[in-house]
Amino acid sequence: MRHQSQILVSIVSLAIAAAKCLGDGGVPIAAMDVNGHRCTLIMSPATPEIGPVSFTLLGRSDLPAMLYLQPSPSATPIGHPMVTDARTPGVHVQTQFTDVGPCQVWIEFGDPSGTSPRVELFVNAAPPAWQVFIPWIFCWIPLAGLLAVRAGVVRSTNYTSAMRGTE
Amino acid sequence: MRGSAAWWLAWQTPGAAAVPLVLALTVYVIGWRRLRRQDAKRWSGFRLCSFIVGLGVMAIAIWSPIDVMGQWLLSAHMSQHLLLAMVAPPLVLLGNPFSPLLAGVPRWMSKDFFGPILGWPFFQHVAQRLVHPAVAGPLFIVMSWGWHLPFAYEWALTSDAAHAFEHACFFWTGVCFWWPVVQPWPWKSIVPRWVIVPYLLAADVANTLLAAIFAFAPGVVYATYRDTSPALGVDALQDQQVAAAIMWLPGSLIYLIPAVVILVQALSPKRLTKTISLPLLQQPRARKRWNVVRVPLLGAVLQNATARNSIRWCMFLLAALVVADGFLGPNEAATNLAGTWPWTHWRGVAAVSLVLAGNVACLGCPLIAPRNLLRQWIRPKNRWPNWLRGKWVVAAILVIWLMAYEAFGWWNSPVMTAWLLVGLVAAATVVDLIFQGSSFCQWLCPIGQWNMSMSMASPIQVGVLDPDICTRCTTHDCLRGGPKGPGCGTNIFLPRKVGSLDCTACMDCVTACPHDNAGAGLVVPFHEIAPETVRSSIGKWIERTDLVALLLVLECGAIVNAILMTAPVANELDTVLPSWPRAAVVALVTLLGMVLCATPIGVAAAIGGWQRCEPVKQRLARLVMDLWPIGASLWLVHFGFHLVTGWKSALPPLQRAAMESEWVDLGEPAWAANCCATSPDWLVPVMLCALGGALCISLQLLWNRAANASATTLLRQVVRWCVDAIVAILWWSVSVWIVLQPMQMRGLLP
Repeated sequence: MRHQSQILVSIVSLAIAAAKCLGDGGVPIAAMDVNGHRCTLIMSPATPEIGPVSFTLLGRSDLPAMLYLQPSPSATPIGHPMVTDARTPGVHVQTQFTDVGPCQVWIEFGDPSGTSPRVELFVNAAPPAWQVFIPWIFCWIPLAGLLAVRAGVVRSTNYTSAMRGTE
Repeated sequence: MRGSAAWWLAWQTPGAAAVPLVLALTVYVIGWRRLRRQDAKRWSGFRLCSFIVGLGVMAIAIWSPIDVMGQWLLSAHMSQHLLLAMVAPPLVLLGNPFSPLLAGVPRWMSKDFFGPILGWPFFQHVAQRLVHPAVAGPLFIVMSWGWHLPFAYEWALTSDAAHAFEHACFFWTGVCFWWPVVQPWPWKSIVPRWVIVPYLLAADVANTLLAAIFAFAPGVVYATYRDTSPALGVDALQDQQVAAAIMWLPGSLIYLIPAVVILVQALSPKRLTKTISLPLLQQPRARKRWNVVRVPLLGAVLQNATARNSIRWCMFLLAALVVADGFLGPNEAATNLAGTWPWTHWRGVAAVSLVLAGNVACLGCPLIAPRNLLRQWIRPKNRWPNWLRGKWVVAAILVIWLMAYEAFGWWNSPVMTAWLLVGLVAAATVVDLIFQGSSFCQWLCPIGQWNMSMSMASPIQVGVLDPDICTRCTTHDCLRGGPKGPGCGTNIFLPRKVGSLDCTACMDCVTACPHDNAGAGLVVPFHEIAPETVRSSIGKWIERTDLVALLLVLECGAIVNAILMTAPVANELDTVLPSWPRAAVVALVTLLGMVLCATPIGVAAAIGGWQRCEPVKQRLARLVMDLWPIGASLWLVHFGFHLVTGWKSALPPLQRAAMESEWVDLGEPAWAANCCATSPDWLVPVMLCALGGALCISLQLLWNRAANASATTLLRQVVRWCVDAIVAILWWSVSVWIVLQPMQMRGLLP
């Protein structure tokens, strides 16, 4: 019985550890051939919404690349230079979606030609804070569950002991 | 690929995932060291190394470039899965982790918390089934195949949460799978050992089949890699074949090597098995309890009255600097020491240290430094009047304090802050030179009451080292004072002390004790809430209406003080009441807010009275006491938020003050640190965890109180608990709402 207890405590401890492994997210939104090289544009988070967004371009980190965002057809495109990061391959840019609605994204290498393929996105409203943090808001529920189990076990043990005492 | 060498050497910064890994490692090492003292042979260095390497493999899978690359190359992702499911679990299990992890946590936790849960027959039954080969094997194979289905795999690639869940699945089914293979001590398998050989071979066959599907597939299985792999200069199909090879060859070896070892063992002549030693929980732990006075240097400082006074004088000098700048410097909070240090830094540091290290805020209190000096010449003869002995006065002072803080914007007025500090020092000095002991601290100081109440959450409290020595003591110098120093200023007799209420942690008792039997040791946080026994200086708290009122003020004050700095409430006040006299209205709103916060408690107590379970007054007292963890956590979260977001604002006002005093060594003030503060990503999750943990503690205390109520049926207990729990959840909900709101960055430039 006690050996099993020791086994189970290790499960609880390590469960916390493994559940915390993090992924990266992100989704390829465009692929193109540039001078015979395959280039892929990846956006993270996978669903565009108001707030920070990062773009990664894989394939031609040797060419100066600009990422252009155009919130609406009438708006002026905003260019963001893409830069390298020692931690990951490719070139990156971190920017923000500021308006809800359709948005165009494209990459220009060197001088803007205006002929680069454009990606149509629809930017959604940012989720409310409670949705973003919902796992953290209710992180106490597993602990409360363990405490409830403990209370139940203690109660039943006391009850059993009391019954034995009266026999 | 340009710069690929640099990239392969680059690792990601460990984030929140580092906390549980480091925690598991720390607890294991502590437990392993304790067990090794009892049985060095069983707890060899091999076990420790194996566990550490197992965690290291997990770290490599999570933080190495493999993780980033796994998003774009199947071969990298497959390597990550291999590490998480087939390498890390057996290594961790080879460390025999159960006993060290149980021995490494505090004893009260292993005995009172884990003990009953882990002894639950249902829990044990489920765990036994999970690690049975007939369940663990199929589970592992289904999980492995399931996550490689294209839709599941793509889902994991595009979602952080799904990716984390996938990793957890691989690791945990891996642990279950390898459990009967490794058989970590003290677990005993209920199946014959030879069964493990076909068990491993079956898993190998399943793994080989999956690898073959990838190896011989005519096209790319996962659409994402069709785009990403070529961009990295790798053909997607070739990458898929490499992934298959990784799965096939190293994967097969991982299954086959233990299968061969077990087969050889099974065919060898049976060795005599040794008798297993008694289980861990029955072994006595003859270790000395940790006490702060035994810590080198720190213990010596705390035991020495002069050293303690030196700390107070250092704090007094800092306070004098704040006061001088408050009167002489610019009357703009963000640029003045009196606008930043007390409200942003001191409060935050005090809250965190009160919760982590006990009542150090009172220990280093600058307010009593002049008093201690003057008492060398002026010996007070008067006792604090009996009719003023109670917390009513200080509770009223606290209400006025909270109202005035909001009404006059103390945080925003360096001059007022300076006057406040001067007033507190003057009041402490005058009162304590007229009356004996620590009358000001015990009966009048609002900050002291907050410190004492907050330190109920601390795992460190002042107490006796060995109770047996106290039973033989006849002088009681800890209370009355003696040749080594004065006794307790708040009339606490140390052997009968329970908790931190009324204890200023001045450590006079530690110095006064002729047997060197006083110190500050480890206790269970909030342990003092449940008992209703008589305690020194306090008496029975259940009968102390004044004490309960004080705690209620602090609890409601926590909510009101925090809610008024949220942007929606602050803006509403500005727009709704523009023409009214602001100070009066804000003071009134603060008071009404506190009454509103207290209303649910009153209603719950009234329901208790209606049920005729217990007198309304006692019900109210118990409820207020049991809800204190939520109040304390909100104070901690509130002040901690200001500290984290505004900690950089400490230096520029000091640089300005130094420049104005023609001392240029500190350089030009960098005012950028005092404006536009943003909270780091980890702050809100940490605050929510703190609030959630406090709610759990409160719910547990409420349940214990309901269960211990005499002559009640289970139904009545549950009804009572539900009523109380609603109040707790209501307060917690309000606290969570506060945390999720945009905050006024008080003490910072706009």
